[in-house]
Amino acid sequence: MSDRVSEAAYFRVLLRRIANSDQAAFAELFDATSPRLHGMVLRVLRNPGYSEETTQEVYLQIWRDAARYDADRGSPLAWMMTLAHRRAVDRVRSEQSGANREALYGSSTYAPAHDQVYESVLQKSETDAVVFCLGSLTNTQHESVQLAYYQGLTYQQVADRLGVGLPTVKSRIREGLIKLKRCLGVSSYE
Amino acid sequence: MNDDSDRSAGGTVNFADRGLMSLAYPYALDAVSALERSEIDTRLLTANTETRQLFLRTVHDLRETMAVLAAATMSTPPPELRSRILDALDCLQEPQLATIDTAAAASARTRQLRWRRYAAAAVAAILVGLGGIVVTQLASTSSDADAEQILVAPDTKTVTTAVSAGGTATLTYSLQKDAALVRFDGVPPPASGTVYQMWIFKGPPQSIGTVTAADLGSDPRMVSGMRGATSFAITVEPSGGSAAPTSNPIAFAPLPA
Repeated sequence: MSDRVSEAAYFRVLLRRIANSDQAAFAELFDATSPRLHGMVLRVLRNPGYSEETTQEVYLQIWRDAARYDADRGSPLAWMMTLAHRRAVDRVRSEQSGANREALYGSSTYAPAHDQVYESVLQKSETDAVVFCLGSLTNTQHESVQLAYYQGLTYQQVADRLGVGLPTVKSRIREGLIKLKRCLGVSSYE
Repeated sequence: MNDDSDRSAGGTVNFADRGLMSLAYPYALDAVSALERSEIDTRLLTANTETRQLFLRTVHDLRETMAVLAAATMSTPPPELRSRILDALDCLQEPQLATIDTAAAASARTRQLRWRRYAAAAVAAILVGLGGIVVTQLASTSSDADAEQILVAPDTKTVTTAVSAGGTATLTYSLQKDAALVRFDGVPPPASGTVYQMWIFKGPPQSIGTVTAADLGSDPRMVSGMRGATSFAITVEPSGGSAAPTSNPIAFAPLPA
């Protein structure tokens, strides 16, 4: 956990330098975060071309908006991943309109836990923790979170896809996320 | 920490707001449609402070969680992408927060007294309730963080005032965060050759921006420079705006601290 804290402190310093147009700091932040950020974008979009475009947009937004990052609202990584996920979801929804959705992306729910192995020593323990904690979710919780977060479905669409009611999906997502959060020891307000 | 906000906050979150709290999870995952997102944002604006803060805290915790989760899906982007992005930096302008027209106060002397009298007289002015708020998109992707920053501030307040030209102006502001979101509902476009100009008072009127026909109907406008403001007004001014108000306000609202 202290790795997360020190990483957040390091990224805050980089963001402050980036806010002053420090390109070296930006390159450092890119190198430290792009495997995670791009990996998530790729998981959502699945198309390498779209993913690279989206990753590029996100990093340029980070460059422009670094001065707006507010430490009160959480870690730099959470801020960056939020920007990235929102853009990836917007893109996946606009690309996957209607009928071609299934054709383009298929209906598979599960993707492998690792798209590509890239692990620094520091990140190895984090990765293990995530894999372990994901494993603590029930299958139905895991499936609902996957569909919502990695396939860009709305919770209504998740309900339709799984053929269950909206309250069921809501509670699966909620219970799953609470479990994950506890298991990973995450709190942004401590 | 409140994992389980709906339940643990039973004493402070009223019944109507509980449904809202359960949406924090899909909201944080971006698992809501654009329309739902803006509906939730609107409900957050009108929810009580307690609910709003719990909601955003839940969302922030989940975003931290999803950020940690990224360790499981890593994929190094191709080196060409890195070069492309770094090369693009030179073409980009540096970031700026919403600007405030600091020259505004300069030549206002002759009008100051009249305005102060008006301000004093209008303190009892029209403060319309938040009843019939229309669903509007709260924020675009790029300015979302800032809208949120205003929403989550401990001193956030919302005032809605009638605009004499028609419709209402709603100001959600945080003096602490030095910023506000301004939304226009049902306000007709300004006459050709004119703009609406927004002012705040901390002494002499200061411009916080102009509003053209094209600006109406877009997302709420983010303005800064709110710290110390005691009231808000709108006037009709020639295109491009004025350094100081040249006509009587068409809307006015005191801003409780």
